[in-house]
Amino acid sequence: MVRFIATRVVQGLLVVFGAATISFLLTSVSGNAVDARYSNLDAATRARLIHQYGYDQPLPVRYVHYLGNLLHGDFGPSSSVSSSPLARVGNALPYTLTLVGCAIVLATLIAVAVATYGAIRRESRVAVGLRRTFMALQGIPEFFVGLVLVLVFAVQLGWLPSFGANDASSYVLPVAALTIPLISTLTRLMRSQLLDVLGRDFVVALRAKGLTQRQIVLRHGLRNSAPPLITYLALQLGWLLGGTLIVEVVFGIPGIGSLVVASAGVRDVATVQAVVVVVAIGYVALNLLADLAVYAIDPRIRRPA
Amino acid sequence: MLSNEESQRQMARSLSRQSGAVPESLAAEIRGAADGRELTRQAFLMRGAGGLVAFSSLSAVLAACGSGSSTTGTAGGAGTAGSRPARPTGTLTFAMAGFPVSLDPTVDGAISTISVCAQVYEGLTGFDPEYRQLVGVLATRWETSPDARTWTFTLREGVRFHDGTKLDATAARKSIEYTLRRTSTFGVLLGAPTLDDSTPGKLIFRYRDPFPDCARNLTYVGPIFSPKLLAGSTADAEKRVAKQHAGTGPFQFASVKDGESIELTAFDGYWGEKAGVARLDFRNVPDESARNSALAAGDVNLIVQVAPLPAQSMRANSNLAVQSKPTWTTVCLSPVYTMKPFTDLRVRQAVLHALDRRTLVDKLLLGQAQVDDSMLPQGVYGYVVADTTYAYDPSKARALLKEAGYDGSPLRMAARADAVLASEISQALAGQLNAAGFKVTAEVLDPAAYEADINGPNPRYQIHWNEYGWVTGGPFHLTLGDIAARGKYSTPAYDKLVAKVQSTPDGPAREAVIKQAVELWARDAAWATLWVPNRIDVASASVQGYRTPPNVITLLGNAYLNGAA
Repeated sequence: MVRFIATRVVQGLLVVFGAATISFLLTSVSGNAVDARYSNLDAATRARLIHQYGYDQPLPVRYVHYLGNLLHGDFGPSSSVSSSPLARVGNALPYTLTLVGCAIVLATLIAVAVATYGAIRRESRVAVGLRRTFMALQGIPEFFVGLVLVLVFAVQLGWLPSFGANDASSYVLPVAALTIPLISTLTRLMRSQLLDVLGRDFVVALRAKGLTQRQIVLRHGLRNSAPPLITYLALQLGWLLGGTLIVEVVFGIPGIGSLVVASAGVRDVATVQAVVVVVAIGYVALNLLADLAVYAIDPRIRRPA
Repeated sequence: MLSNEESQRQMARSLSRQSGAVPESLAAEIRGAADGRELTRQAFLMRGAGGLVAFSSLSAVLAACGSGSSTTGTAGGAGTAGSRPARPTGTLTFAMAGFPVSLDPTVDGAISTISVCAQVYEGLTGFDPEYRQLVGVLATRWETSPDARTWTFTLREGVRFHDGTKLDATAARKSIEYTLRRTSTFGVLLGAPTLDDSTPGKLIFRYRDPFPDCARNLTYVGPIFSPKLLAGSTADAEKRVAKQHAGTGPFQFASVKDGESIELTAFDGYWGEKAGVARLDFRNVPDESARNSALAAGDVNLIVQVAPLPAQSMRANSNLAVQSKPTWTTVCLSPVYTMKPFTDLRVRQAVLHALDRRTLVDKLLLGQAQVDDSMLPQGVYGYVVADTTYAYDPSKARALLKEAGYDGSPLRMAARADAVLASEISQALAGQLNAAGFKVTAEVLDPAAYEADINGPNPRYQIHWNEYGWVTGGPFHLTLGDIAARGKYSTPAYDKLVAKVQSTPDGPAREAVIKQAVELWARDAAWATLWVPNRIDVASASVQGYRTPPNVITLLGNAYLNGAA
């Protein structure tokens, strides 16, 4: 167990290091933020700001300072505002986590329910109908779903707010925009896993023992299908942390997606780097949790090879 | 040849003879398909295509329904205007296109920053409600010496800042000095005055050289801050101004949620007519369609600088009031004067002859702009139309190019991504230029990349276009020289005229020099004024008293909500 965790942690650190390095290199290529931000500075002021932000140093020296500061959570001064980049990310992250967390939980519950029903009553009209509906919804991008939801529920019906993150009702439409495309993929994955498990020999034995289909699916099928689903959810959650920016911009939610778009537009490289590193850390942490969960659920992983 | 179903049955029989060769789930799928209990691929594709068509149609219907709740309505809103409430009442929600990067108005000139800070901070001067003449705001009057080297502003008495501090000459002086500090983006607009606050109630600007635009430029720069914010070093002052806010405006800061919203409340101690609303709620809604939807849904009361096409559909909504007014903005297309082939006057003239500005205004902007043959927009001081004009004549453009020996070398045109209809206008301009014989490709750049290129010594783009707001109501960009600098346009004659404009006090002499500069600009075909766009603001019908300004400074002190109790 200790060795398992240690291996995953080391791998995760390498991923974070890689992400930090790539974000540093890419933002360095785009030029210095001082010239992008100010166009009328006199030479002395420009030189002072260039020195303040470290752009007068050679790239390798800047990189070493960058890594050293990273260990203290210091991404350098934001060229835009007086808040530190990490503080800005810290303020934005709860909005994104709320959005993404709700979407993942809702999508998982619906997908598991639909897949389980489909496994129990495989050929019923309802099961087939649901499967076809989610298939049709799978390819629709989140921003389009979001815009349609806004037009119907906010503009036409006036039931829900069209933007913002003031209260719980503000999250309904953006969560729905993220959830709908996600349900299709999760349902297919879960159903495929369930059908695979239900076709195995031990299920024949369970049927011979007299268990009903419902009992087999709920007690044995779900548990055996869980590991790949958990792994996929962790990957999705990590991807969504950085991939919600379109939904956040459309719905005016001040999460890290909106933050990175606004920061990139004004060349606030420190904040962009902070977002990249935080998302990478989140991605690694979630994958580690997923691995631990699978380790706990599936005894075969715990057995020595 | 076997049918699809036959081949699947054969495959199923084959699978049943094999054990463990394929995943059971897959085998079950195939057996099910062969028995006709599952969808075949052919049937699925047909049904899926039908479903997609049905969904697309449904979405189009919903989108059309969502564009407005009424098919009738008059521009300007329906319903009678209620009277202004005796006390500030209600909340006006304003959708911003982006969150201010700083709440220090001397640092950032973004529209969102100006929109917020203009409610909190005031300057010495401003404009009358019709934007026809300069009036005093924190100054009651001003005098200038005949040579425009000395400006004496008499400060308004009885004005207090939001933190209770009294306005006096020293506070005004410190505020102007703060704007003049080196990292301020706007200090250049005030020149390099020496400030004198020794006379109680008066602030005197003394310039070494004539500075005729002092009072005019103070309408845009030089906000007056509470002296408590500016105490200590410049660095301390910058930190304090960014975080704490105390001006003299009709509103004061109540709360700031980074990236989300800014709330202002009416200031009870305001020296002038109290605000019409009790609260201003600035909400960050970066996406244009989301702002439009939010207004239609009633989640916000006011959105500004709306594009022409959505504004057209909003006119049909009786719950909305659309105001569209000409601005003090020129949209200019600049060939880079020092880059070939634009070093040749004939090629620059060909550019101007190639542009069908009227068609662009009618088709792309839906008539929400005016074609103008002046460097300056109508309504600003010094506006004059050049005698030399360039009519749309692509055949003449081709002849000029041939005469100049243009070899068809490819040219790149850049535009800012945040310009209205940036992509559409870029493509249209490139199309017109190419039809006249040029070989232009258009690109839309993010603002930072655009600025870095055109301000750099070796731009990669030979042509660029942009919007220039003459925000002070005067020959702002002419004296600043930024449009010329970006186009690398500089001749001894033109530079001499600009220097004269900068140093000649307002009056017939200055207007004559401006005319000479405009005429030379036109003869040199230095750059093209494409049009003067309208500013289109849309408010819910309950908003009264709000007037669309010709510049970017949105003032909400006079706005109130109809029916707010």
